Amino acid sequence: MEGILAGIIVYLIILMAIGIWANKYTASEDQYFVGGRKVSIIAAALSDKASDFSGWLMLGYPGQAFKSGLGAFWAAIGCLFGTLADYVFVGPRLRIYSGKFRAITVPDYLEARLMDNTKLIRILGALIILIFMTVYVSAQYTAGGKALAQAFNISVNEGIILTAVVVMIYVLMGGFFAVVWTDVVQAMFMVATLVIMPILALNALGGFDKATMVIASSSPTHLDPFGGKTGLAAIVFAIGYASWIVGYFGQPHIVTRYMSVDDPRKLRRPGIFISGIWTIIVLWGAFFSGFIGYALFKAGIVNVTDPERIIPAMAIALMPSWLAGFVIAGILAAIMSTADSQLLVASSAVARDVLHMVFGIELEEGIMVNLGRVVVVTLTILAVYLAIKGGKIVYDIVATAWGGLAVGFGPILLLSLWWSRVTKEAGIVGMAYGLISEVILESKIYGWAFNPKAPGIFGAIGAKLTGVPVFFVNFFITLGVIIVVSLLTKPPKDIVEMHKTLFRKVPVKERSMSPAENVAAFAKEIGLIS
Amino acid sequence: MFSAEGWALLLVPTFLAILVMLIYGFWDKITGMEYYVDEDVL
Repeated sequence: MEGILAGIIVYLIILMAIGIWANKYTASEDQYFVGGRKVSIIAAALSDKASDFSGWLMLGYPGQAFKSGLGAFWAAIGCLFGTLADYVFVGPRLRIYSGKFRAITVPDYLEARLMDNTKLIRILGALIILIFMTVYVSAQYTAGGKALAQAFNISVNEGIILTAVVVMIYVLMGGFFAVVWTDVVQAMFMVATLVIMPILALNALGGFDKATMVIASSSPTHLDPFGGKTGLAAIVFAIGYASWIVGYFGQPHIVTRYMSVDDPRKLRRPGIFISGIWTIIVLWGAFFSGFIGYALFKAGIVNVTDPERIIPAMAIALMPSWLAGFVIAGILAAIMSTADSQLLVASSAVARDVLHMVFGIELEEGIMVNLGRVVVVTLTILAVYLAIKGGKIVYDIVATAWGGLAVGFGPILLLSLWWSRVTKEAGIVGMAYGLISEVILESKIYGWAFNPKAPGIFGAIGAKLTGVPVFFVNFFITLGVIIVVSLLTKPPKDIVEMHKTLFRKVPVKERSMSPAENVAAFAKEIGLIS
Repeated sequence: MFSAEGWALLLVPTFLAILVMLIYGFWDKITGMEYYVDEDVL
């Protein structure tokens, strides 16, 4: 117990030291992500992933691998290709557009791109962010509560409140840790934990063959790629897990990372390699942690009451206590790095997007900062309430929040980047439909996934698609709504022209030089280098 | 050990993902074209 606490404290001190070092020795311009400033591509790519994967990766996903076995790997496939699709379809174009329009948040970009002067897109965007980010943060608190409960034998509710207090202090300190380099350290730490964990587990069990034998004797469907299902049910099973892929286009805390990178061409190389390879490693690690964790559980080496607590439970059972403390601290840190960026996105949606941009209220900077703090505290209380009242399954809560953001922002972001004919009317109708339908379907009819228990016709549809998240189907419906409304309305001519000139491609050698190339050319000119 | 299908589920998508990374990462080399980016955007 003391060892675990010591490990946590040492880890947090290391992070703090890095924060202080980064504050002192890095150029001030590169420090914070706030306001779309430049950051280097390595930091942006890793920080993009550190904000994306959090409590879900360390608790939610291993819990699914524990419960479903090999079939849960479909979720890793969905997340991996979702990450790649973000780089291919969203990253460079969004960065070019937001550079041109000086946009620093997703509602900023949408309003500028669709030339919306009604402020409706901004209001809808802020509403979507507020509702679903609060749910998302409650998932992080639930994950933190479970990790702390496993470490210190307290109840999950006490753990949730403790996590929320720590995150709130951290955000109110002004994102003191939230420098790029701590995010990079977190990303490295997540890789280390998820690589070491399965290896330690295999070591304790006596090899991979032993693990699959233990699993085969207790639950053969754990070794089937489709969870033991055949025919249509197998396809529904795979889609149910892989559906995460469509959510990547609409996550504001992820896509704003692409907007802050210094050069859109670097997202192509090395951006996609850094993110892609990191994602492959952590998803394999998280999957095998849960999968082999199940074998350990069946072999009686590790005892867990809740599948989602398998990684902290394995750390405590298999590692010296100070190292287990490091793992618990790493989980908490991953949660903090995600929750703080989500709270900041939500508080800027209220303070900046609604008050300042919609109502034109000019407040002094000090009052604005305090208002942001009030919003953070209010959202924290709401998220704690949701976490304590909710079903306490991290995977499900994340799917609920992910779905709202996926349907609200995904279709309009994707279409506005690739189709010049999207109109503001379509954006307003699409976002309003996405928000309203997703709230009703998730809160009143189905929950996060289709099931046969829903009333009337919804139950019949639910029976066909059991286990598929609501957002997967709704994403395509919203896409259709936006296309139809766009075709019925007419976009301003100049914006269509603008779209075509902005995204034109030129032969590589004719492109303008990057700042580094400019400096090199100048140095050559004055004879500094040959 | 996993069955052949099990290994295929793990390895095929991973290789495909690496292939996507390579193709997209070097798309400008393959086609010789790249997005036009000027100082205004940068």
